[in-house]
Amino acid sequence: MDLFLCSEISLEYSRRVREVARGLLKGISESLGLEGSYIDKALNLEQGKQIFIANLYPTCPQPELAMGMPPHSDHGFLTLLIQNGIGGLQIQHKGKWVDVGALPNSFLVNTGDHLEVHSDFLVMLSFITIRLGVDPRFLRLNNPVTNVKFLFFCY
Amino acid sequence: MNRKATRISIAMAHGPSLDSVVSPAPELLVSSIGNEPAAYVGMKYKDYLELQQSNKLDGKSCLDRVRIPAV
Repeated sequence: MDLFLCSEISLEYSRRVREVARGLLKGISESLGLEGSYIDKALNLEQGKQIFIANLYPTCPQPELAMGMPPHSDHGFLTLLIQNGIGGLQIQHKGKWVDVGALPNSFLVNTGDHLEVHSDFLVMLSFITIRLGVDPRFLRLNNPVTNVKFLFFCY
Repeated sequence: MNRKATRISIAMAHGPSLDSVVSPAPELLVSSIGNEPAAYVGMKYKDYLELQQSNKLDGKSCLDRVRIPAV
C-alpha cells in the first residue's frame, strides 16, 4: 500500500476510534453516577494520550514454543482492539486463562488500570465487545455498586 | 500463534493527558455512611506509564504499586 495513503487511513482511523472511546467513557461516567463529561474533563481527554499498536502473528509450526505477548494489563482507560477474525487473545477469569473469540466486525474493549484507579475500584479490569455500527452513546454499563466486574456483549 | 492462519490485531489504547494526575474521583469516595478511604494513591499518567514500561511484563499488574492496603 502507498505509505502516504496508509498514513492518511491510520490518522482517520485514530480520530474516529478516539470518538468511540470518548463516547464509551461518557457512558461509564454516567453509570458511576457522575456527569457524562466527568472523566473527559477531569483527566483532560481532549489532550489524551492515544497509542496505535499493530501486531502481526505469522503462521507458526510450533505455537506452543512461541513466547507471544506476556500477561499484562493496559495502563490507560480503554483499549479498543480489532482482529482479522483469528483469535489468540486470552483473558484471566477467576484465576484461569480463557480464550477470547474474534467476533467479526466488532471492537474488543479492554478497561485499563487508570479506569480502575479513577473509579476507585468500581470499574475493575475487564473487557466488553461492541459490534461496529452501534452508537456508543447507547451503551450503558450496569450499576457499578453491585458490579464487581462487568462483561457485556452488545450486538 | 497459530499453525494455519496469520493473526493481525490493531489495538488503540486511550489514556488521559500525560500531565493528568489520576486518582480516585472524590465524588466516588462518599457513601451513605460518610467518606470512604481511597483504594489508590494518585499518580501522574506519564509517571505511571514510565513505571509500567520499565517493569517486565511478568503478569503482575502495575496497579499493585499504587494500591493502598485496606486497614
